[in-house]
Amino acid sequence: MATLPKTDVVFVGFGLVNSVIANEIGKNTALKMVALERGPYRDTYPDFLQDHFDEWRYSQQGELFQDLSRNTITFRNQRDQAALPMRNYGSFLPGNGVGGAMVHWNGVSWRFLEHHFNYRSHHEQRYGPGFLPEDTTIQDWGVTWQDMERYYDAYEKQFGINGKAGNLNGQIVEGGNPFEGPRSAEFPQPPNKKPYNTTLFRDAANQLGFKVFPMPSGNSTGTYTNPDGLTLAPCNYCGFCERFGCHVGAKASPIINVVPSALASGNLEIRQYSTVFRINHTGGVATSVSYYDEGGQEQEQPADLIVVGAFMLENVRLMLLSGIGQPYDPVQNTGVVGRNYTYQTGGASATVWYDDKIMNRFMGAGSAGFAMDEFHSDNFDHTGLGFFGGGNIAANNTGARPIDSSGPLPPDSPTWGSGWKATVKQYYNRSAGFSMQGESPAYRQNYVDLDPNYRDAYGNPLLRITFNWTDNERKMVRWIADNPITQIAEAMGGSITRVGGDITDYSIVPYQSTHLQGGAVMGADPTTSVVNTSLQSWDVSNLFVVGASAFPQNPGYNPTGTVGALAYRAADAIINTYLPSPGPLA
Amino acid sequence: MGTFDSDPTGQRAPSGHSSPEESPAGHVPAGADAAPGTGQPEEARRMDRRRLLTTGAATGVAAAAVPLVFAAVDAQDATPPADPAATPHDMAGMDMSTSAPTNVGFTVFVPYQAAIVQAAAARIIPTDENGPGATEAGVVYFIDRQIAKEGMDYRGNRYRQGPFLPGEPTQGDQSALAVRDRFRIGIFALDAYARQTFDAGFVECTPEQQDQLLADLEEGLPEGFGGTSLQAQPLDQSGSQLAPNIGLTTTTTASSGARAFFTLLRNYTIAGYFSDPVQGGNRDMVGWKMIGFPGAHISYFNEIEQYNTPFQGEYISLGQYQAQVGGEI
Repeated sequence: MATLPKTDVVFVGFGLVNSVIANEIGKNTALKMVALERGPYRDTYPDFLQDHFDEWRYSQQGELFQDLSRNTITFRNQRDQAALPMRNYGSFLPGNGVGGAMVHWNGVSWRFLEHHFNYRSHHEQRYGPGFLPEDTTIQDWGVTWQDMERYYDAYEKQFGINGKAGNLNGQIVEGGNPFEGPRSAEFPQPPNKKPYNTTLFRDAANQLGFKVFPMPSGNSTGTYTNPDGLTLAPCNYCGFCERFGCHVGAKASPIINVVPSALASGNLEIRQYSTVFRINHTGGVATSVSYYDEGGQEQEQPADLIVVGAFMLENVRLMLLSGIGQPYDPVQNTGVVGRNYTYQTGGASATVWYDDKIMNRFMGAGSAGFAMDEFHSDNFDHTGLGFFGGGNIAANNTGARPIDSSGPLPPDSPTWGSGWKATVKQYYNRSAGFSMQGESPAYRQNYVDLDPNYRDAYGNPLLRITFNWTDNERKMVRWIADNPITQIAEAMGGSITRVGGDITDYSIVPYQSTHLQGGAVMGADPTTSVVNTSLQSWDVSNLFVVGASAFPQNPGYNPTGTVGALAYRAADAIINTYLPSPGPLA
Repeated sequence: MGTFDSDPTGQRAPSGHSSPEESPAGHVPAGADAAPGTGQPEEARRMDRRRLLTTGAATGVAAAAVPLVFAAVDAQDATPPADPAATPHDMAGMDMSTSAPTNVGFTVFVPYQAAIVQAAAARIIPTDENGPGATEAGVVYFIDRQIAKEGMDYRGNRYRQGPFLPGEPTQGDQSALAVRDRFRIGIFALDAYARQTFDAGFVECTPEQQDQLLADLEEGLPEGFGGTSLQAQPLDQSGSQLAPNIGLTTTTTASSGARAFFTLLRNYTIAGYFSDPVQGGNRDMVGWKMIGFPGAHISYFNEIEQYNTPFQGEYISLGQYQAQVGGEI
């Protein structure tokens, strides 16, 4: 093992979080920085421009995803089961490489709602004690929406997010989301183009009186140059977005919007194929990180400041492998690391098939669609419903690549043979779907810890996920499906309609969502959080742990916008508060 | 499921030829040493020689049968099928020259396996009034190329460390078997099930019989499908050289099960039909043309908001796209 020359700052992972923080540090200080990224650096040219359109390679075989043969997770629904490894890609698709999962994301970019940040106290105030299920561990974030607004704004400008404001400085604006918090500025870009199927959803929902608005998106509307002079090209709606890198540099991503500026500081080195496995610390001070280099050799990189931004799973695993923070114990209900693991609740959805319309479903973008928020979180009265929470309802068209999306086919269609072939030919291009992205509350019994049996390629324990839905989410999904989703589907006027609304046990097998949260939660109380409201470890003050791992629970929105805002918040705290006077922040 | 009065590919033996030795592919050519042995030592030696000769003859048959089975894929290049009756009896007499293209063939499968996979894929995506099917798409070549990749299965790099425990359905596939071995076991099991059910190998079964066999697999039948246990059984006296000498018993504990093999076969067939041609299937983009997926179009910027309007652009593969954006290499 070699101990390398000390640097000022070391970054673990180089996706959204750490590229943003490195860029801000690079612009505002003269500190030397080293980023350790387990995957390769890929760019628009030559990688994505010259390949990209290969569904098998990228979407099925997972070219851009975490290499499961080296590192995966184990999973069980509940504590009395043996957790087993997720051997294939399924429920979620973590990224791998510079830019992280934001290289292959769809681009849906939300700000959370105001009451998401005081989620528990909001419910207790509105519905009184005893309303929330006893086993839920939802909690307030320790910051308010107003605290976060300027960070959301900085993130949106850096990444050129497009959409339509619904609330500008407290003024409700027609055409936007009337439920959103008061923005200080309009979106950096106007809404992008919309595929046909999403307009059928919009028209039907509008007809029912719902306030439908353009989904906030990172698929660039036009040519956009950000404050650092980095330029997004206009989206081509090629239909190869989620699971692919963008071939024309039109999808907001660290590799387009941040990394070139961070490298231009002259003070940043990015080491590819470098897998950090331990933060070394003594007496409450982190001294270095240990990692395996591209050849698998162990290296030690000393630094004064360590920032972990390696996706939720590795953020939490690294804390546990390093022995920083007290691991969560669900039996005693003590400890914090691994607590409040949450996901994203799907299952409430509809598909409408038309015999008189063609959709051109192969044209599309990751986030070119419409959404509505009437049934999200506590935007509607839950009195007497028997559940809390809800979700955003949206129609999108990410591109109907045929291996995955020769369907959906009408109910009871044949699954093979000439009957299947005739049905696929008839309906491939004639369906329009929409769904609720449901929130995922935190529960005492859902958590992550280190697996006692399974190990990664280097011999370190895998992260173990213990997770299941509860009756609260089952009722929530059923009610949303039976009410707004059924109403909208019927109003869309197709020949055949199918509504889905059943969830039973969470399964690791089918792809659902790459939205994993919690385990290193932020908060104002060290007994229920791993990091403080500046994303600084309560236990090791020169360590910041940033990402969706900090979410105490997950709303019915994609997490990326809020991860970006947290990165700007952490950067602000590091540069303006921590560096002038290193030590625990308030 | 649709049914067919005749095989639309025109490649298969007419229905009614249920016994292997009556089908062209399993036919022992006239003139082969066909006298039954007497069990005497001298006779036994002659029988060994006879078996060798028959094997040699069968090699000749197989060489002719391969272009027969795969002719649709490379119709213009394939060697015209030889008359099995005219095939020479021994290696010395064989005409080894061929005009078959040099860049086809199989990297994992042997032709015996490939023929079964191709026949099954042709029932999952038949050639019919809606156009070319799995055969014309070259699905079997796609599968062969994909399962050659070490450690990869349908969903990419697989975590392969033990211990291997059965687990709950919500925990996913926990088998230690690599995908190529799943194919190997499943192909033998499917052929054995065909012989057990219809007294004919899967390839020799009629389309209706093949559909029934696959439908059984989809339902999880037969129980014990995919056994891996070699057990004592009588010598195969049929003379067929296109059946394995030793059948794998189907009465042992299933290693993966009939439904799992059907799902594997179906998923790979559909992927091979719809993937970019660069991956070995979807030849001439026939899968895309069937449903109207245009392929690797760099932009729909001008078309995305032309609602309910058929797209008029051409079909384009990744290779064609790469030639445009990457230039000559």
